[in-house]
Amino acid sequence: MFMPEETLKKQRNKYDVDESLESEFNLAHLKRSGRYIKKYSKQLIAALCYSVISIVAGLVYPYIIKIILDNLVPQKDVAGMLIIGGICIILFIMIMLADRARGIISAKVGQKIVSEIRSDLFAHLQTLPFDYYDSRPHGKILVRVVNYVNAVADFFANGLINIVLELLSLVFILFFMFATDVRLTLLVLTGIVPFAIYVQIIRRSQGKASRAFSNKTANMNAYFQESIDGMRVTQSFVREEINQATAQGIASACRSAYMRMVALMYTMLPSVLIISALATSAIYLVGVGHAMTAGVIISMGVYCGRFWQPIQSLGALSNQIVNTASYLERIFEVMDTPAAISDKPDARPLPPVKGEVCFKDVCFAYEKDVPILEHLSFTAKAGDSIALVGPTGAGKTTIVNLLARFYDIGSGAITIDGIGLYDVTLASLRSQMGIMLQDTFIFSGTIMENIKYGRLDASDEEAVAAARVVHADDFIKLMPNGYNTYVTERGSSLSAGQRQLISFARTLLADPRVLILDEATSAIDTKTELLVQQGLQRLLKGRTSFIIAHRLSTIKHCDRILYVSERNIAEAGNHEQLLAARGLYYELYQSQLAD
Amino acid sequence: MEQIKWVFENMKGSRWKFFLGSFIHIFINLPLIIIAPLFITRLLDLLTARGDMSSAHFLILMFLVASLIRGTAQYLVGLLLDSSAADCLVTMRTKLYAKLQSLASDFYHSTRTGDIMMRLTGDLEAMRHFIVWVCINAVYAVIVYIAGMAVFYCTNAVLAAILTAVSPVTTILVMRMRKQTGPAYGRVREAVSRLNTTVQENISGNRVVKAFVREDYEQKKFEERNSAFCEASVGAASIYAHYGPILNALSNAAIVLVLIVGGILVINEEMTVGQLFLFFTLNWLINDATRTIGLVINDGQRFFWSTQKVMQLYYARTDIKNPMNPYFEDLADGQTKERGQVEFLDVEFKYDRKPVLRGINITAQPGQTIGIMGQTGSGKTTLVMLLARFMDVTKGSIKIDGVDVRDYDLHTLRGKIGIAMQDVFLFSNSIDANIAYGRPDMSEDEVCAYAAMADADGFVTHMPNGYATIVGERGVGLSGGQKQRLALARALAYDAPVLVLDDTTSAVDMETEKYIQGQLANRPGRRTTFIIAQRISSVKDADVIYIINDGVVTEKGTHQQLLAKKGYYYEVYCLQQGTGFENEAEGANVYA
Ligand SMILES: Nc1ncnc2c1ncn2[C@@H]1O[C@H](COP(=O)(O)OP(=O)(O)OP(=O)(O)O)[C@@H](O)[C@H]1O
Ligand SMILES: Nc1ncnc2c1ncn2[C@@H]1O[C@H](COP(=O)(O)OP(=O)(O)OP(=O)(O)O)[C@@H](O)[C@H]1O
Ligand SMILES: [Mg+2]
Ligand SMILES: [Mg+2]
Repeated sequence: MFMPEETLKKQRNKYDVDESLESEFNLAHLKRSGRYIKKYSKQLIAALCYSVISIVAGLVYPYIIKIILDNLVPQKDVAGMLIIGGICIILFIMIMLADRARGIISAKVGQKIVSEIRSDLFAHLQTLPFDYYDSRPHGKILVRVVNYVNAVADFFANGLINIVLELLSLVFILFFMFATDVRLTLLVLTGIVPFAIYVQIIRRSQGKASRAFSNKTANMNAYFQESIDGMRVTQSFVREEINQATAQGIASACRSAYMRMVALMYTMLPSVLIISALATSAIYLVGVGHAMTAGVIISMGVYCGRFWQPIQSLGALSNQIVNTASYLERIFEVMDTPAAISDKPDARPLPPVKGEVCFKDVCFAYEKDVPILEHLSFTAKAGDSIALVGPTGAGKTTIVNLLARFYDIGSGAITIDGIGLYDVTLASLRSQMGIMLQDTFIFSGTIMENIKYGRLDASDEEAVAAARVVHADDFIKLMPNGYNTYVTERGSSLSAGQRQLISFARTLLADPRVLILDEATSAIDTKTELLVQQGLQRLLKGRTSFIIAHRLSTIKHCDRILYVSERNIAEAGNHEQLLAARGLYYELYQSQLAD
Repeated sequence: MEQIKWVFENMKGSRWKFFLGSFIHIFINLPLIIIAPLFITRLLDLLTARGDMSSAHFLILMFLVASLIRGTAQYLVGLLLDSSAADCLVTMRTKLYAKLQSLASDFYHSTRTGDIMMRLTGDLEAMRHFIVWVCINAVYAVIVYIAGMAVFYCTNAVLAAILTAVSPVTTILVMRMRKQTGPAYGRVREAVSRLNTTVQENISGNRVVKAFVREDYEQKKFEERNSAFCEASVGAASIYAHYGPILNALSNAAIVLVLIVGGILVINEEMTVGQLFLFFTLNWLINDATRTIGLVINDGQRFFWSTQKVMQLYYARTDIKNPMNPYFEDLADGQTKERGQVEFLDVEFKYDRKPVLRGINITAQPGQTIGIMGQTGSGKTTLVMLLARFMDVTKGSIKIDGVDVRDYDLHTLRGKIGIAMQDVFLFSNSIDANIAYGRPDMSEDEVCAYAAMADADGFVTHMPNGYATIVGERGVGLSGGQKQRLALARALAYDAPVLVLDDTTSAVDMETEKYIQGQLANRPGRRTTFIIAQRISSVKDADVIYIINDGVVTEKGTHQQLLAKKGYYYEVYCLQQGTGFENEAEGANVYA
């Protein structure tokens, strides 16, 4: 509404924007899944064998029955009939067992493969930086992990085996056809040419259609997911009607994409039918015209029918292949996203630190051309408590983000105890820090589980002790099930302050060397905050701590106060020094005093 | 059955596609599958008999035509059925979405997002499959079975009776399978929805996961859900893999029995070989019908289970409903009427049985500013939720302009209240769309003006894309204070007679807060404003300040009155002024 589309810089993805893919659609992704298939090749081959057994047994049975009808009945051989009947029953039991074995193996293998793919996908997601999650709706990530992966299950369960089976029967039939009459066989095979051309043409558009559908599904998921999350806002702003229209639009877009996809898909069967009918007719025409022997024509006719059957099945399978490939493409795309923030090859674990933190000439920008920090330098002595204050949006949270290496700096250096942040492993770095983020996040689960998230091996007593320090114990005890009270997603059954206290307790339980509190008490009443601070004093001793707060009463006792403004540190010193300097901090302090 | 009826009702408008598709399938497609090869068979007969070949070309032509018709029919059937299903899905999704928008907190507190999403996606896919595949195949199986049986009975009643004799066994097996399939599919659903929730939480909590280096823990948690889902799926699929082959074997065995008994009958000359041969050739009909019935039952169960879940959502009850005779504000005399008077009368509220608020009495005259302060978890946000009727009071009443909020039309009521919520929720959309969320037809200038009022204009215009910048999920990409100011701008832009600011400036520095306060005060027109805050500076200018502790109002008055009272407010004041608070031992010398 403010700027014409084309002048806009690259933006985050949102629910009504398709996620583009750089690559042309191709089937190479199927090959990549070979890694997963290989592991189950034994089972797959077993399933294949079972299928072959079942098919062969199925072919024998009509023959046996013919014997009954043609020989035994005329010969009035009742005993023979019973014997053959017995053999048939055995055959059926064999078929039954083979089919069952195949069915169960297929189901297992298919699900195992997709669960491994999903597991790898999830594992890779864990390595992706904030940036990845921040640049697209979460619904679109979710849909890949759950829905897309589910959608490819049947391909691995049945598609693969069926392809092999159909190919086998094709080879088999071709063999017999060539043995019968080479010329006619070649004639039948010419039918393959238009079919191959058709498949080639349609595959392109099918790939596109299939991609479009997966895009629309993702959009729909993203929109629905976000709508559910923000329902309260929608309701309070009486936005229901407009959102309803949007939802309908998105559902319709999904419908059109789906219909385009299946419209292409449904051309497959008729095409095979018609081409095969033409080929069959050709045989008879040629056969009759050239006065070939009836035997040859008949058997060719039969084979021809048989020959097109697997092709027809393969056609149906090729639909599945294309769809599977378009889902796998998205799945592998995530797996191929480089973990931008990762350990350097020669990274070593950070030894236990004392906690001297040093920023040297640090420049940083989230997006190119929009510098957030420029040439920022400061040193925090081990054990000091450092306060970061400054106007909103100055970059306080950003400094903390850089210290925990959630983002990589543009230039400059950050060291802890003199060791460069980029020379050590991420896990060893972050596990020595306790970071309380500005946006509290509570997982669904019990309160105890949430607190213990800070240190998994902590005992219940330790968790309770941490809760006591932040005075969360008081209200938790009053809950119906105390620490075992189940809180819903995002802790929506708690008050904002309560959520903050729980996440505070979680951070303290981690017992970090460097403690970072980003607006840890912004939603907490002043009296409770005071109590929290009293408890905290003890804990802060000997640890380096970074405290960000807007309420100056929260931070004025800190050893050093850094005033962040204009992409840099404008003032530094303790409370008294800064007041005496009568600068920005002094102004801020004055504004806080009631006039 | 009730599920089928329900789905059917929701197919209004595209039922004809469904019926036409089914009709073509059953009356054109299926017969042609049998008829088309007959021409070839006839041709083969001619060739074998070396008879008159003059009709050969005609037969070939007929075969071609039949195949052509069949191909076209097949295509049409697919399109018609799928299109009717797709229409139905759009209807469903739209209706479910509307339903979701009408449900209140009570529903969302007790339902996992993953579960709702499952109903909107996977469950509807089961519905699609039902419409496209299960229905026609059920009809197909029944027709084929009945037709086959009819032919058999006409041919030889004894043999047909043998075939019929296995049907109780088949029925029992099918019933048993049905019994297992439903719950098994239910387990799959449950597992998916859990998996969904876990992944979703992991994604939205990715910052916490990284901050605590809990990737391994998350992976473990995920693996649990993932393998539970895997097992459930295998379990569900194994049921058909188990029963399907048994059903096949059974119907094949019946045929062998038929042949042996028939053979004996033929030997005893009670039947001709030709008749027996017919049983053999038509055997596949019964086989096919049985196999299809197995699949139909299997997939049908999935449909029933899924549709039941969808219906549950569709018919979900909520406590917050529009009253029978809702009160719509009459705009004509609305101008003369006092607007924005809010009264809380003896309000009590309980979550389940847990009391949260008791005996709350707050009155705000139009244009007044009410400050509310109080301990964490004392019920301040709950007050707001009650006011906008996200929940209902358990006792007492809340009135706006003299009308109980429960008597208002919900939209009218919420149209009167602009809320900046404590949990800032921004949509991943452009900044201007977010500000204009409540009034989408707002002009650009207005958007800027409201942004300026919330002191957001400055930082927004500094962004490379300005107001067109798309913020991430829940406002990612903005600083804490920036998010709050956008939420504030959104509430201001709503321009309602009652404005509620729930802890809206906690992440904003004092100077910015002062600026915003000035803007609010100088705004033309007066609005009743509720300010919930922990900072004295936020509430001190309010006409009346209420202190709520443990769900009751403990203090009430203006800034000066409350200071003079030397109670909670005074304590907080002293603490925030940094003058210390020496009356209480626990407060003493904390900062020394
Ligand atoms: N992920 C991001 N992508 C792009 N820009 C960002 C991102 N996160 C923050 N910013 C921008 O960086 C600047 C600094 O943000 P930061 O969160 O560090 O501020 P802050 O000092 O913590 O503010 P507050 O007190 O409001 O929390 C802001 O202008 C913000 O818009
Ligand atoms: N959905 C819920 N189910 C059960 N209890 C709830 C639910 N939501 C809130 N509560 C409880 O109700 C009480 C009041 O919560 P409320 O959010 O109103 O507090 P608040 O005064 O706004 O606190 P804060 O200052 O922390 O925002 C709290 O004890 C909270 O745990
Ligand atoms: Mg911040
Ligand atoms: Mg609150």
